[in-house]
Amino acid sequence: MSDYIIETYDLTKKYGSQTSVSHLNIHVRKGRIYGLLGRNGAGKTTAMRMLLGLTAPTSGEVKIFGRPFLENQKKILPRIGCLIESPGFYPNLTGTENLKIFAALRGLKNPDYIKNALELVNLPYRDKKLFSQYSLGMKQRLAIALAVMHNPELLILDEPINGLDPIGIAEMRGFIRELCDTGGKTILISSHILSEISLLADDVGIIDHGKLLEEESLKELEAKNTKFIHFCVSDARKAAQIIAMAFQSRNIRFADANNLYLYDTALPVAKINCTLVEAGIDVQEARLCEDTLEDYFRKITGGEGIA
Amino acid sequence: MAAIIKTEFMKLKRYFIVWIGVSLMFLTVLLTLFTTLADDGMVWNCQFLFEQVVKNFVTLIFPMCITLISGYMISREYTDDTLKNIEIIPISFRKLLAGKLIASAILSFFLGIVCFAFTVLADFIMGYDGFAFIPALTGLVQMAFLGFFLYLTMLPIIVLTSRQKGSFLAGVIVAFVYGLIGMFADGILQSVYPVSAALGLINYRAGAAGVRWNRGLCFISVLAMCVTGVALMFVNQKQEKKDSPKAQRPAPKKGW
Repeated sequence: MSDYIIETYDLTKKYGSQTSVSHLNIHVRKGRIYGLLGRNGAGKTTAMRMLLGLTAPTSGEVKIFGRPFLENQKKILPRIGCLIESPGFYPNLTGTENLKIFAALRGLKNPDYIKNALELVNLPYRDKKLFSQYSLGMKQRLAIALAVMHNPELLILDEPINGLDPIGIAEMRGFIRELCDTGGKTILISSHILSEISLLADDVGIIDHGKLLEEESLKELEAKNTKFIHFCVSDARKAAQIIAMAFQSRNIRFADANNLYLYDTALPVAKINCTLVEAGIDVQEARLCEDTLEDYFRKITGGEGIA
Repeated sequence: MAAIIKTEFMKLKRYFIVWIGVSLMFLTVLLTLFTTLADDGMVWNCQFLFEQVVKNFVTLIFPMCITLISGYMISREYTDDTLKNIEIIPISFRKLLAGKLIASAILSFFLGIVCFAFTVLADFIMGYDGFAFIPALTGLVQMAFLGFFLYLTMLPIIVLTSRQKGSFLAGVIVAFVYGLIGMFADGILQSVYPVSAALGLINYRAGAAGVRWNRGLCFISVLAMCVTGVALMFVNQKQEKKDSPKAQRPAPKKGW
């Protein structure tokens, strides 16, 4: 049996002539956090809506828990918890009353389900505050409580940190991590905030203009990042010649007359520094640099960055 | 289905629309009391007040009122963006709609009872003669069932306008006109036109001169509307909600 909890095969969604998602093939492994990273409008939400059957795909197939989703929707959906787009609740009711409604519809009779879910997200049980009076962060927390209330195996969370303050974001991150590590849940999370995905996800899928550009584990992605030693010297050309001769390295690039990049990062920086100084070259700076994930994202999306 | 119906009543908590419904029932009686001010030589008693309230209830207020409440209950799922949470349970829109329609049917009974209560109150305040327990009990049952039968005649309008966010207000206007026309139905048409046929089913003014109901026709007429409403639920719906591009939905707040 496949190790994948979610698999999509050429999943495509078109609205008239506009293609929102194009031939998407994602693979979410069991017990891991999969981060779907992309700019606003990249097609993350549409992809997630298709995974949940909220939007019908134009073509392609979705398999969840190893079964075709469309044919087994009624069996698969109760095993999924989700937060899609903005939290949708009844504004005239309190948080607890809202959860009571969805618990009743799910057939959850024990009030502990509601109590535990609210406790998990640090919201009070049986509070008098109406949903319409909630802050955006509280609304987001309630939506997460709804997603986890029935103890699902798979969580699909679309931008769950939207509206949370920095402390809330850190708490939410820890909470999602814990759900995966100790709760054994598989989590698909989308975000346009690269730093969040890099702090949280085990596997990353980069989506841009509806297309999946990259799908790898975070470790593999990080390993792909370019490392180099940056020298700021009085004469970059002469310094390059000296390094090439003394250390047998030709993996050097000039930025300008004073800056050069050495891509053999295994070479001893201190020794190079000494050699250059002895040859009469002033060395103002020598440091090990690494492309960030954002640089990588910019590279593969054709130059445009991300928040 | 029982869970859906139960949750519909939970959702009604603190909904101002229920109070609008109760206010409209009060308005029905108030409107009738205004007509007592007319100097037309008519002698009012309890029975006559009840008959006049029923007439206004059927032709002026109730069709609009129940269409408004039912439509609002459905429309809120769109405006509060809760449909997605229900669909992933999974509960289909059709099943949810069925639950809402049953809850509305119960509400129609309730509103009929409320209107009757206001009528009795008005009778005591105005001090009309002729109040008796048995006719009053009959009146209560008649009013409650009249609300229900009228609701059944409104089903097609409610179902049709449930498919698009906010379109229930158009349904309210149609329901008002549809009810008003019932005032002019006469002869055999009285038993054929669904709104007035609902009156036939409760035996309205059966003893009065010139009032003859063909109860079979009345039953068929109301049943036909009910069946039409149910059938419309099964007509393949346009998937506006499901297939609209993201750009057309209200943009959620993103980021910081």
